[in-house]
Amino acid sequence: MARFMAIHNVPSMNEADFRGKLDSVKKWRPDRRTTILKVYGDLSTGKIVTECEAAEQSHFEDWITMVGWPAESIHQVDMICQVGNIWKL
Amino acid sequence: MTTPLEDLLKLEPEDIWKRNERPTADQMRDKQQIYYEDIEEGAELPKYIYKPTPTHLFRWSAAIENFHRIHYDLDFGLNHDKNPSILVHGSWKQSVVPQFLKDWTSPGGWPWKARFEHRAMLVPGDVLIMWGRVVEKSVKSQMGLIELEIGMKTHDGVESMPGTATVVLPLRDGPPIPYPFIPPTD
Repeated sequence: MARFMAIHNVPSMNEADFRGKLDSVKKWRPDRRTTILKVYGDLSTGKIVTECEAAEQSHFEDWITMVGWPAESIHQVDMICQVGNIWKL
Repeated sequence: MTTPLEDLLKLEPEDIWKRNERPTADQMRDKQQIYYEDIEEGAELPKYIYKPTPTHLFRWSAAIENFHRIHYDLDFGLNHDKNPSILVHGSWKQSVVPQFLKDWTSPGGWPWKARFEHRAMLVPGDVLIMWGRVVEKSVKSQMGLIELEIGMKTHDGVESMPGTATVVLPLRDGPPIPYPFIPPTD
């Protein structure tokens, strides 16, 4: 398993779009270990950051295609600092 | 009449939850005995539906003093063990089986034997279906033995706990099942 993060640029996004898009893909589950962990949105600028735990990057890319938010870049995450705790993945 | 497992799995998770047949305490107090003759091979037991939440998991951890962090510390579960979320305890699943079998055989029957395997990780958000199906019947020592296939499926059809069980039901014109239970010898 690996952690991935993608940065998306989706101009003119509003709250209804954000909720609707995520609701439409809520059943996505290529396997029981793969999951979208977090989606951060700055709707005023159209910037979205998504975080995914997946066996393969291609699974995450499939989700990105389904949700319809083209990724400017996708990164594999090595280190996390979360609420003061550092995790090396 | 319980909804067949196959049909249940075609429903949305919210609708599966509405089919929960776990009896209330009042229903258990008034429960009528099921007799051996009432049961046919292939019959399904009432389904128990569960929707575990982080609160349930935390409560179970505290109750049984199992403080492994994978069960309540989301950051640890995600980042250390690479789990998809906090995990439902195997011991909780294990606790469901005797309750499920005891309820069905009560008040005068007996859940004799059960075996099962923990096969899949379960997480909050899963809707879980505890199910059982009669595969064989026989009579020994004037007791009705029912062989069951049992399991706990997720709403998306993953079998997380395949197993088998043997329960004992009284015969309609037979003697009561002894308590404490004495296994048949013939």
